[in-house]
Amino acid sequence: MKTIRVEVKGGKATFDFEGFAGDSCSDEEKTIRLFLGQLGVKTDEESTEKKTDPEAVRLVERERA
Amino acid sequence: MSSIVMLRVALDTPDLIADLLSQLQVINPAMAQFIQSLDPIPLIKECAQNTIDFLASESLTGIKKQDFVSNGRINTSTWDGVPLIGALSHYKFPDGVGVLVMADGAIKFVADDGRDYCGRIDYITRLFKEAFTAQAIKTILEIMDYQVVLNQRLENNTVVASLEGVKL
Repeated sequence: MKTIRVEVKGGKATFDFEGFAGDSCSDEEKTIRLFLGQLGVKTDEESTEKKTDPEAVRLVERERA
Repeated sequence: MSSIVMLRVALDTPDLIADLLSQLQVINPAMAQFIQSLDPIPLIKECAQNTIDFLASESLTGIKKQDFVSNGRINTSTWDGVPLIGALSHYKFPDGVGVLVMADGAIKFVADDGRDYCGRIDYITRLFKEAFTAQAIKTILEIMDYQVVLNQRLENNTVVASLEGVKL
C-alpha cells in the first residue's frame, strides 16, 4: 500500500510519501509536480528530507531476494 | 525510502515544466504522454468551483458565494466576454471578487478595487490560491488512482489543508 500525505499551509505544500520502494517516491513527486504545472500551480522545491522507511526497505530487500 | 518535500506554490498559466517532463518521459513514458495530452481547462474550472464552494462554506472566513461582481451600480457575471466561474464577497466588501478561468487556463480575479476599503480583495484572493492548491492536489491524486480524503479549515486567516491519498 502506498500513502501520500500532503499538508498545504501558507502557500507551501509538504508531501510525505510512505510505502514507496527505492526512489519511486521521487518519481511520484515529479509526476505530481508536472501535473500541478499543468493545472497552473507553480512549485519550487524548497527542501527535501529523505528518511528511511523500514517498510520500504523490507519491500526492496524482498524484491532483491 | 520515504521522502518529505516542501514546495512553494503559486498560481499561473498552465505549463509543462520542461525538465520535469523530460525526466518523466524516461521514468514513466505513458504518464508523461498522458499529462502532455491532458486538457487542463475543465480540471481547472472544476477545482476553481470547488474552491469557491469551500470558502463560502467556511463561516470563519466571512466570505459568501455569489454569481456576480458589482461596482456599486452595476452587477455583472462576465468580464470582457468571459463568464465568471463564480464570485466571492465579504461582509466588509459586498461588491465581491470574480473568478475567471481564461482561455489559456490562467485564473484571474476581477473586482472594483476602488471600493475595497478593508483590503478584502487581497484576503479573498490569497485564501482562494491556498485552497485551490489543495483542490488541485486532490484532483491530481485521484487521476493517479489514489483514494483521497481532503480536510480543509481556516486557522489564523490561513487555509490549512490535509490530504491523504492511499493506493493499494
